[in-house]
Amino acid sequence: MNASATHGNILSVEGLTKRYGAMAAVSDLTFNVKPGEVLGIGGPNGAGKTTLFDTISGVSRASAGTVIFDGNDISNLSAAQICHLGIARTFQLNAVFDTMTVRENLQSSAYFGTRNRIVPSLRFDKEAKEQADEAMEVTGLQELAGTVAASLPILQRKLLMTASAIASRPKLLLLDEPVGGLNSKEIDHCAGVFRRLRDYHGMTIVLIEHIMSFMTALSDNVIILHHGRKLYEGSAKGLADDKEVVEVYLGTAGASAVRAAATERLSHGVA
Amino acid sequence: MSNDRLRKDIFVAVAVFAGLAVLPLAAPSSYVLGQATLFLIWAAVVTQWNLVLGVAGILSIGQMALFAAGGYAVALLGLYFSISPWWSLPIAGLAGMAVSLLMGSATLRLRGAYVVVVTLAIAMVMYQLIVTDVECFRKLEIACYSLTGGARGLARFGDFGFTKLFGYKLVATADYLLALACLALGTLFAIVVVHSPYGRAFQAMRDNEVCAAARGIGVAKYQLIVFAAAGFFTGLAGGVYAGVMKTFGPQVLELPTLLFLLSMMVVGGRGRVWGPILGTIALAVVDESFRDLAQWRNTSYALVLILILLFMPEGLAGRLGWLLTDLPSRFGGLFGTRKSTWGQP
Repeated sequence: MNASATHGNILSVEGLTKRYGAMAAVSDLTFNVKPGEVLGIGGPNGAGKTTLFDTISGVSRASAGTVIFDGNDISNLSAAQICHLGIARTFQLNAVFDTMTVRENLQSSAYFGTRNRIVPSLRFDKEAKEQADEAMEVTGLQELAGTVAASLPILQRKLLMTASAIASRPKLLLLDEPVGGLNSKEIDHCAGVFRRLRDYHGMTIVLIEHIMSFMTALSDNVIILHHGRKLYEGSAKGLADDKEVVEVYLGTAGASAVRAAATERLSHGVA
Repeated sequence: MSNDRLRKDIFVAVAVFAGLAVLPLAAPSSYVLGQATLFLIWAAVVTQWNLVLGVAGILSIGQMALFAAGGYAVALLGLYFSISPWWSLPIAGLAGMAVSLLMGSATLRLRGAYVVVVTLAIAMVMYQLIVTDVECFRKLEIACYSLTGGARGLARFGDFGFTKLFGYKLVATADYLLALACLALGTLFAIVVVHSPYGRAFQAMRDNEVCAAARGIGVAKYQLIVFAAAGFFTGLAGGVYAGVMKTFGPQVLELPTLLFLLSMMVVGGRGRVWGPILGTIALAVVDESFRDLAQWRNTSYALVLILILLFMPEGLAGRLGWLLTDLPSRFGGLFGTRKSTWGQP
């Protein structure tokens, strides 16, 4: 990977392949993400979206290809090391620490996620507590600070997952279906949180989502995956006009919904 | 907040241990004191086991191998080098830690039932190596003894010298207080750990290992830390047991001991600081009630275990937490309440 390709990109994925036996879940995928960009990743079930996140975040190792983040080759690093460098991800299933309270979740994520604690102290430091409070504030979870995560309603669980990801103040946030299973009011609430993260906290966001109206409204660019390969890469607006995308993924009804969402986004100037 | 719970737990611990310390003043029979000593040692073992299995969620059931390592360290050093148990106690802890680290590293890449199999196998191998050790190592008159004592175990390797220090009458009391000190040390350590970032890391591993790694927690490192810590205090308890009982044999590695201690943990409540102590008290009561019905003893444990699993799956500590939910004077620390918000600020 030469210097010009990584120049100006916070994340460069080059020829990334993840094989399970003979099946390639992600196949020779190349794309870049610029600082401050919101990149949406869509595609049918089994297209390799979550596998892509797993390999970028170190949950599983790529079979081939490189991932450069912020000037570092992270292809062979562990999930914890990648987190310390500044990538935080969420999970499709509501993965938080169920038996901890909201505050404990966030303090743990802030303390262990910010840097490698070679010999942890016996108390969370002031820094971790502040970062936890900040994450709570951004996501609006202050009221629930003392509630055990397992007893939270779905929206708050989703927000807690985002909060625990941002508690370590990452540079890049990977969101795996952040609004799946929510109603439209809740989706709007989440969209507001993500916009604030991008606009005021300068976070770069890559998100996987099936809810196309949400994705087009939030993303600067969109990649559609199909069978582990790139089917489409470009602006959210052009998505509905791409014949192949409409055929494989959106359908005609979906295409008009996407077109409507993209138009709305332009007219509201949310970009 | 977390500091509040730490303070509460330490407060309760000091009160409980102070209460237990003055118990011998009630002049119970030496049989009662002896049984109490034994149960204090079991409680010390279960407290550490609870750190590994309950708090960190690693299904290790080879815990008695660590106990045996500590016990044999004291017995062998006493027998062959005439070292007093007082001096060999720290070595007992280190021996427990060494076996525990071996177990921890052997299971680093395993999860769930596979951990059960490997840890049990390590304990079973240890048992087999000891009971099949029949080679003549030393000769006393015409009798031949093997290095580890084989199935017969070891005896006459020295004790804590309480007879000399306090006289014959107070030996049982001194043994009891030593066992109590061992339990108190381990429990205070466990309390500090579960309320610290270490405890959060263990809890995170138990709740969701993949998520823990993605949040920057080096899972392998914390698994080894919890094994090392539990190993040290379990080995220590083994050393105390050897010094107090003045005999140590492979019976501690047999399945009934394992199941008895496992019952204590489940009855008390896994993952909760006070679970092991409550579980030990409960099982001690059951054990004594069925003392005259020897053939029913094991059945009685099983029955209690089944009843608890059916009606209080979170154990006595969990149930107590639930009962105290709305009381203003919650006596903190039953840790990791799953459904209720009890014990939270």
